[in-house]
Amino acid sequence: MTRWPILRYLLSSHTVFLLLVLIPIYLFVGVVVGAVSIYVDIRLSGVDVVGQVLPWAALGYGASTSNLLPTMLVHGRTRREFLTQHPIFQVITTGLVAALITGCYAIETAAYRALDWEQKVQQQRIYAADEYGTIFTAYWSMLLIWLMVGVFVGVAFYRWEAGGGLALIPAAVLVVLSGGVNGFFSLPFARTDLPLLPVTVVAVAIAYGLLWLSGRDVSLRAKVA
Amino acid sequence: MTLSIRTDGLRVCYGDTEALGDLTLDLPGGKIYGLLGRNGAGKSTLLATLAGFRKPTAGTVRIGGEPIFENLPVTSRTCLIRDDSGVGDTGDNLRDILDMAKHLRPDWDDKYAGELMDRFTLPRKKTVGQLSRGQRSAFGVVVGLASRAPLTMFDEAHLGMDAPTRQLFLDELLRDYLARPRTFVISTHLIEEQSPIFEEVLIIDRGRLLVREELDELRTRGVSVTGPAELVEEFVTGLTVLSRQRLGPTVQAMVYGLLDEEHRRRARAKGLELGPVGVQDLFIHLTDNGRTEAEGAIR
Repeated sequence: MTRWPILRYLLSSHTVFLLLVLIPIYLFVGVVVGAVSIYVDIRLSGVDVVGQVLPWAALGYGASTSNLLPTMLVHGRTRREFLTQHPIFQVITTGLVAALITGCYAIETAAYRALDWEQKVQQQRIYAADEYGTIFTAYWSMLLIWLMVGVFVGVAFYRWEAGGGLALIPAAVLVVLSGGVNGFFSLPFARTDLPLLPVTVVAVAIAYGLLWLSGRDVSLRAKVA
Repeated sequence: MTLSIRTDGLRVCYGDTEALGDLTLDLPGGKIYGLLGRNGAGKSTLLATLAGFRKPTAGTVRIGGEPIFENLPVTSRTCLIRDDSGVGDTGDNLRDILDMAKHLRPDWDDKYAGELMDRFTLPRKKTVGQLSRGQRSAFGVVVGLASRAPLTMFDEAHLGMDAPTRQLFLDELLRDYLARPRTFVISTHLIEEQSPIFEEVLIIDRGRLLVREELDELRTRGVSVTGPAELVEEFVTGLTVLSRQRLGPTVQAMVYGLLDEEHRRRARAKGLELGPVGVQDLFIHLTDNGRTEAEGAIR
């Protein structure tokens, strides 16, 4: 039997798909920025503006995973396997996406410098446009936490239906906390002074723990999409 | 390779509702079992529990002697295809789902899956959501058969299929079963159509096992009496008649219970034809409101 079949499947299909979707999006951003520059002076990083959307996309994609868990069970896999291999997929995929985005910042920096444009990022960010190490870490942290939270919420709703709404409470806490620490939210109580790595590890561990509790013995519904 | 099925005191509840109650089964591997029951009898719950889709409230389920729930060596060799199939997301195309199954199923036969896709004329590039109800069911059957799981179960997997496709499903199942013996459990309401391939029949009612018998044995529990209407009506007076079919002056009456030698002699004397009873007629009789009496008689 193939080892880590769920992980292999997800990396060979979902990860590749997500990367292939992101590349044209960023190319499109370049085209839009170029078109806008005809009429106004460019002062903002286009990559940074689009980056604001990505954590939300990760949250939604994660929530849709509730369809994937029953499918895996129908194909003879176990919940334990899924709850072990899917998080590894999340770590790898969000890392690759964060690297791709960081690369886009770097390409944009080079292009803006050549054209003598100002590459400002949004005020609440914890990085400047050329601080690639922090950019990578912030995106990886945000995407991973929000993806894990999304999966937890999706599985909780799958398991408890309307009762899964209670999952939104811890999910909201994790989303707001991580958004503030990573500089994606501009909130009055946001704490950008907290250490990023420990906060990420704790938030991911909490989200994973909640996911495990929701999915470890979940029953398949009579009707699957 | 085949897998046996054993349950001991199996009980499954949905809140306050008991779907299965104290169900004990011991089914040897390498047979085709037909699982029959009225709506809400507990068939789907039983199959879901046998497949590890659901944890029992009480009791045990063992497949091939091993517990099924969260036991990968067993779940990966068990396949349950339900009426909604659930083999992939509605947005996934069929080719991608087959590719996923290849990753996930240890006994998956990709070549056979391709052959079945052609036989059922299923479009590989379409998504599940673009298929008709019958095509979705056929695709579920393709995944179920090509999984080559030693225990393969179909729960109303034929829904929406037209008659030729249903026949193709049964023919293909039987052909593959003969070529590669394994354990099949088929839950269906199309009793007369699908029962010919069953080796044993299980009837459950209100979460409890009502009947478990070899198909041929079950069919001897009743007799069909065919002949001129007046003679048949006179003959069956005092017997338990399950159903009657009339064709012009001829009547076929399905009678429950074994006929004694005196009745058989009388039938021969009147020129009445005796034959096996339909499984569906037996099923209806056994699961109707007066089933208690019949239950006692059949065991």
